[in-house]
Amino acid sequence: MEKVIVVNQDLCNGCQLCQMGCHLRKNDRSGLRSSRIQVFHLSGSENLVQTCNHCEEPICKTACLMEAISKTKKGLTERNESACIGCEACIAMCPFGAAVLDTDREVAVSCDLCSGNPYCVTICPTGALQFIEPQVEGLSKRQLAAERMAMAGRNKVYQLP
Amino acid sequence: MTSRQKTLYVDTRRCMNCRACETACKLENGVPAGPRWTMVTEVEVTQDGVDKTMFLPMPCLHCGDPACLKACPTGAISKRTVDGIVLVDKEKCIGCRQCLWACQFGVPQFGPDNKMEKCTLCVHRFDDGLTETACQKACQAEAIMVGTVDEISKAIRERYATSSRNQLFGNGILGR
Repeated sequence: MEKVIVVNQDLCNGCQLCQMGCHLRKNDRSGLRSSRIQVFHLSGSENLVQTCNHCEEPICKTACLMEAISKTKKGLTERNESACIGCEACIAMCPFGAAVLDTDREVAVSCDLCSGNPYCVTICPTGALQFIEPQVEGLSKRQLAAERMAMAGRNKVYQLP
Repeated sequence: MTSRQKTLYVDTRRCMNCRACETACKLENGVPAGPRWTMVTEVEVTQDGVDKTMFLPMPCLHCGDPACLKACPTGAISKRTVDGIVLVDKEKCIGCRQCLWACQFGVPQFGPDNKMEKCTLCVHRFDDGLTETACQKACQAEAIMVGTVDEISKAIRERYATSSRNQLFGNGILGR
């Protein structure tokens, strides 16, 4: 499976540097609204980072009337911006808020992983963003959970002599 | 009324990393190369100053309040009311991997079709009237037990009672 942007929501401190950096890189001006990675400040000190998940069967692709959205062979969701008419149907349908309207060009855009070297990942100061394969993230989570469970068992379960 | 939630108990003192459960699971469920519905994880622990390696089979835990179910945007993940098994509907799954980000245990797996698949606790076997999962049947060390919390606690108590009795009386006439 191809690498995707994996967000560790616990590490995110909500500084929005990824959002600003993405806007600068893609739109050549500072701003937040047209950024392809969005940081949401939830209640308390919780933050939520949402970007394109590159779904296998994207709802945005189904919603697009102009067939501007397609899946590449590598599994990425690709947009043909010249075909986009800016109807915002994909923005309305995406369950993650990952598609945004580029207000400079009046087309809908989403994360294209910066052709394999995402800028947001390189500038993230806390390491909350990672560019890895999904199964690597799954494996490390399994290992961490197993370590937690093993230690819990060692500390609490009565050991037979 | 007691809980009907089926769950899976693993005795880390018995598991010896033979990975028969992984093989049996793949054969039983026809899992392609790549995803592993259950996986024996090696953990290094230090106990009383001695370093040990423990082995922990990690299938889906079929949580009572699953994080993957809440994270799924299409409602593809469901929890059966009859025995609490968490199942995924591949027709509804769009492969967005939100379940993997939400799961604390790294359980959701993605095969060649990039759709989520995971341990079903051999739901088809229970529906056919069998009482064991494939991994439980394959485990030679009897490290894996599947059942409701009541059944599992009863089995653990019986195991403990048998081992204490054997220690007290040996396996001689009094021990029987």
